[in-house]
Amino acid sequence: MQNTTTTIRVLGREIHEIRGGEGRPLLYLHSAMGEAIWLPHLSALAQGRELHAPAHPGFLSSAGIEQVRDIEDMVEHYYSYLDVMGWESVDVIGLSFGGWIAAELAARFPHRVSKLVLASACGIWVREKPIADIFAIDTRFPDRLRNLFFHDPNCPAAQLMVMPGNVELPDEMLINIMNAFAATAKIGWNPLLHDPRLEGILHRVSAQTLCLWGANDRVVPLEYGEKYAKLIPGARLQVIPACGHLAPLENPLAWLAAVKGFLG
Amino acid sequence: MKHFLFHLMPYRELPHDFEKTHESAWVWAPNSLFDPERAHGYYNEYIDQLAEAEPLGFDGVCVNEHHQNVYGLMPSPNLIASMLVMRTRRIKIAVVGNALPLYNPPTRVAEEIAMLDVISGGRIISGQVIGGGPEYFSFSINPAEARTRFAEAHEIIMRAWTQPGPFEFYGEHYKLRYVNVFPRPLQKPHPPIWIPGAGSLETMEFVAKRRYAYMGIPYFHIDFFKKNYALFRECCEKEGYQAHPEQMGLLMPIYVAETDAKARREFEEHFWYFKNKLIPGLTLSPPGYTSVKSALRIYKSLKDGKTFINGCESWEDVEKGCFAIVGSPETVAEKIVEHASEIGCGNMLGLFQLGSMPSAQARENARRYAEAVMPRVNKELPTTTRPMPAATPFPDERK
Repeated sequence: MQNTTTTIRVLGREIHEIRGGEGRPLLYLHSAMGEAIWLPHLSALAQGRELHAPAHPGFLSSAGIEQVRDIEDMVEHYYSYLDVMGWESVDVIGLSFGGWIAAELAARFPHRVSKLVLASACGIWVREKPIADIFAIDTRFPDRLRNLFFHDPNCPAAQLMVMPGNVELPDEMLINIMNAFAATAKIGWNPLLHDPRLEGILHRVSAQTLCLWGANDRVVPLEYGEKYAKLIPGARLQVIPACGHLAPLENPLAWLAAVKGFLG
Repeated sequence: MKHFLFHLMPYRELPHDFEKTHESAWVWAPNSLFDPERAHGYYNEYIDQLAEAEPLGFDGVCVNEHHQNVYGLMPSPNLIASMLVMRTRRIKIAVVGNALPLYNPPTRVAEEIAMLDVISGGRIISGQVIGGGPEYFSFSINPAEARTRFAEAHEIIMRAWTQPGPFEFYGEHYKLRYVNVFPRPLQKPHPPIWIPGAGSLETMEFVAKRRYAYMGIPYFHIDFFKKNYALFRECCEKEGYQAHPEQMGLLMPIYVAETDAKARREFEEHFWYFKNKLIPGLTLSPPGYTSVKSALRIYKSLKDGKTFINGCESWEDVEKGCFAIVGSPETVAEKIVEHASEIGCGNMLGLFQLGSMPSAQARENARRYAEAVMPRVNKELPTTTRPMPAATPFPDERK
């Protein structure tokens, strides 16, 4: 699958985007990992669709995090992004942190989102099952990291997970990781990766919604999928068995089949 | 040379296996470990040690701010400073520093330091610091805003002290309709400002530009300090002046006994208590807390595992990196003179109580330093008569 990297201007910010495929546009909002890069699951999503994966301000070479104070500013950023792209309404997939942005976008501007996939999304809070504090991860222990993000820490994708501190990384990659964490922290440090106002406005979402979760998500537990599905009118929850938080990496076949089945 | 007695106020009697059962001395070390009866003793002994610096002949004392940890029992250094104001008459009291982003509104710092300065007759040094990485967990303050909050808070405080109020300050983080701090400090235009730094170039440039004093965050290899102070002096030169010795402070654990062997014998176990039990977690660096440029520089200089105190495995490592200055009065004086003259610093900040060291021992240590080390150092490195450069004032926006 061919892909191109391009720079667009949103609210005066230079934004990095990767895109590929042909067909109706599909917007992918990446997680805190900053995967606006052509990973296999993005390539698969681009089959039959024109997939757009912009990097949020502060991630990769996207500028403008200085002006993004909180999740509201981030949602305004994407509202303007949709205008720049000329999309009245679009299908949106958001993974984890990107799922939070997608849920806010669909709740605040319901007419701009046609179909919505919330994949392992943070953004709300379940008191009995707090979201894992990803900012407190001790990088000295890669095993713990794998245990947190995957159901099976020995699966091939988990073995690719690296953190500074346990392996030698090139400067560019270190810089990307630091920037990604800093930008995520700016939006989601406290309250941790959620917006207390969001659950009160989720009833406004008019998009057809799929909540897609790994059954054994240790970062944003399955209860979050259940709560989203309960609060968004008509939303459906689909659970991938024996799978953790990074479901599109741990079980790409099941994850893609669910997304494609839903988007049609 | 000016000599300061610095106290961390550590929690002394942690379980012997603490480091095996707890990964961090910070943020998550459970407060069920805290025994108020013991701490009553610690606090009073530590305050006595600080107050005794005056009759011993020190030029000043230093207190600092840390939260939710077993490393230091001083979440409010201003409270301790206020007690020391009443226990002393002559010496400087340096609060190094208040972690500005943790105060909202930051005019609170301007008020408290001004109170202390007025009551003490102008003996306060105002340290202002971004706060340690763990503080951002303990206070739930966004680390990605640490640097911009610090810059704004610092400007508010300096303007509150030097510009007639009331004035309005509408920044990115702080929206203050009426800034009109009452009382203002006694020292004119304001108390000396000390800024601690861990090697970030932005901090050094800021301190050099504003003509404040720079204090290296301790527990690094002596070569790392030397590199940093050389960088700081360069920053001052770029600003068109030569760094004043008292613009630089070197902070070190110090232990003095009759002989080198005796000093090591008496000191070593307390050093290991400190390093093994109290240090883990101190280096937590939450995302965005330092600029990527600085983070990369610090990350690379720490990569060898020998640049920070946590890499010390043997006494040889401690000696080689000069993580503590330990020995007979001659040895200690010689080492201080050697390093301080290379660094060019005019302030020596000593930790005379470290880790589990009992109070009587810490007091004897400080006494031996004052009697036998200070005169030797001062003979080699006399205090300069050159005046300190005047701090750069913030412009009054209404003019």
